[in-house]
Amino acid sequence: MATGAPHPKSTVPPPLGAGEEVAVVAVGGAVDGISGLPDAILGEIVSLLPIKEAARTQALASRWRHLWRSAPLSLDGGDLPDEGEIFRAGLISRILAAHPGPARRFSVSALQLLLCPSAVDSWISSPALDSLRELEFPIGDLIYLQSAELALPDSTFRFSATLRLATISKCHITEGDVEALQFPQLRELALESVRLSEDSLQSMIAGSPVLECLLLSRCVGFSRVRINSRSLVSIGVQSFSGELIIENAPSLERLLQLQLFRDLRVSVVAAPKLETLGWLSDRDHHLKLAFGNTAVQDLRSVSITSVVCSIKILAVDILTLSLDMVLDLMRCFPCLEKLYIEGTEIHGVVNTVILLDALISV
Amino acid sequence: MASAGSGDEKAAAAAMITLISSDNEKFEVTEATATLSQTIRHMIEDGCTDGGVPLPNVTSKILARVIEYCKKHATAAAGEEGSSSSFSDAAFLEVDRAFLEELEEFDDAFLEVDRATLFDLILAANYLDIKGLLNLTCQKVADSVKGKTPEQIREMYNIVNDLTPEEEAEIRRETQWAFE
Repeated sequence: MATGAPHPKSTVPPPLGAGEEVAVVAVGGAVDGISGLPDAILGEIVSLLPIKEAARTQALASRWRHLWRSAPLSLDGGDLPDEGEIFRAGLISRILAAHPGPARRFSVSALQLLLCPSAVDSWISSPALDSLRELEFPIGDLIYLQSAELALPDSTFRFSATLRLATISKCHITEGDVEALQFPQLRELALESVRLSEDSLQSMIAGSPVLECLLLSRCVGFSRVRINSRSLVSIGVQSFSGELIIENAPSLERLLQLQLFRDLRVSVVAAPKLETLGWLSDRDHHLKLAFGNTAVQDLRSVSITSVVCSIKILAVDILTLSLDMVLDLMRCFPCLEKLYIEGTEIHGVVNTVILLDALISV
Repeated sequence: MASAGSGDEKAAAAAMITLISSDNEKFEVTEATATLSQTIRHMIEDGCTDGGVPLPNVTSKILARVIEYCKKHATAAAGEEGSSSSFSDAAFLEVDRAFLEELEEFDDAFLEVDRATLFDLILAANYLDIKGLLNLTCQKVADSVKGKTPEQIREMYNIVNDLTPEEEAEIRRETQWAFE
């Protein structure tokens, strides 16, 4: 619409890197490709590389020499040569000694906690990991280990102010660890085979005002989870027997039970945006699901006293598919847009997806 | 004009933003598309977008590509921004898999550009502060050097090695673990 001068206002904020270089490249076209990028972006690219390759970029040219150290450290133990965890532990210690910090991401197998607990302690305290955003102790092969319950390094929660993502596996989180702790930036939390009390879990959720994703997998030590969170968007539960009560979750969109046949009782009191729900099964007589006053006893006899309008995507596991059953579901969830059906009789693991475009009225 | 807006969106004229490239081409986009750029989002919040948003650092060729990206990703859930973490992809979003796959296919096809264009896209993403696009394009460059020796990387990107043999030896000594 408005023509006039091409630059009527000079309110455009300056970019992250060196402004002049940006202008030259945009107008003249990239003559000298990668060298035309500002240091901040080159650092970004370096920190996306596996750790050894990232450090090797120091030897490219004098301009690159300081980039690896000045960019945030991103260290994934899984990128290190597979010569055993003890060897890896030695390497991790050397890497942390070489980088001044701060760090973006630190991921080491929970196996390290079992084999080299004192090394993990010293890593967590290392200045290289200051301001850490993503901390992961992936469960890896420890998933097969029944008994082990590891201790988290004492200073694990020194990152509570900066953490965006945390994955903790095979550990025992004590009340003293997390009591009164705040995680002001934590968006994703995964607890896998973790022992913690209901109170500890509750205080972690309460202390995380922007938490969006919560995954509880094979956790023990509590038999009830009450969700009161303005921020949670996704909740995933695996191998949990007990009560999951969604008391107030105004942002919740996805609620997934990732493993069937557990004695799980889900009660949704207030989750007005809940769109995705799964898995439900006609073979799973353990699951109890209730929406306010609507009890979904099992898929054969869904109660239709009231309907749940927010659900748009539903995943079900049905051994023998019948049209009646689908119609029952449509009555209970009248706004369904997608229904994912998985059944053992239909090609085993292959998903059969039925897309229902039109809504069926009750 | 290189107007990128489609006819039926004209109804929502109030929510349209005009972007002006360095070579003075005008692109009309929805506010939802434009605000994938934090830079533009802030300008909208400050009420600085009447008469169009001049983007003196972005050519029309690159701006058209950037808009293409933003349009596609603006339709993706707002929560997508910046979240690339392992477990949310693996577990929570499994039922949205088809949608994610489509988005991934789009991204892959989007990145099928020559290197000069890729670097221009990086600069534009940085300038416009579009986190997803910056991550995507930087990752593409990182992937291109993965598994390469310093010599191969220098050759690939015309990087002149101005380090003295002594300096290079020093770097190798300091971070010996990286060169083993």
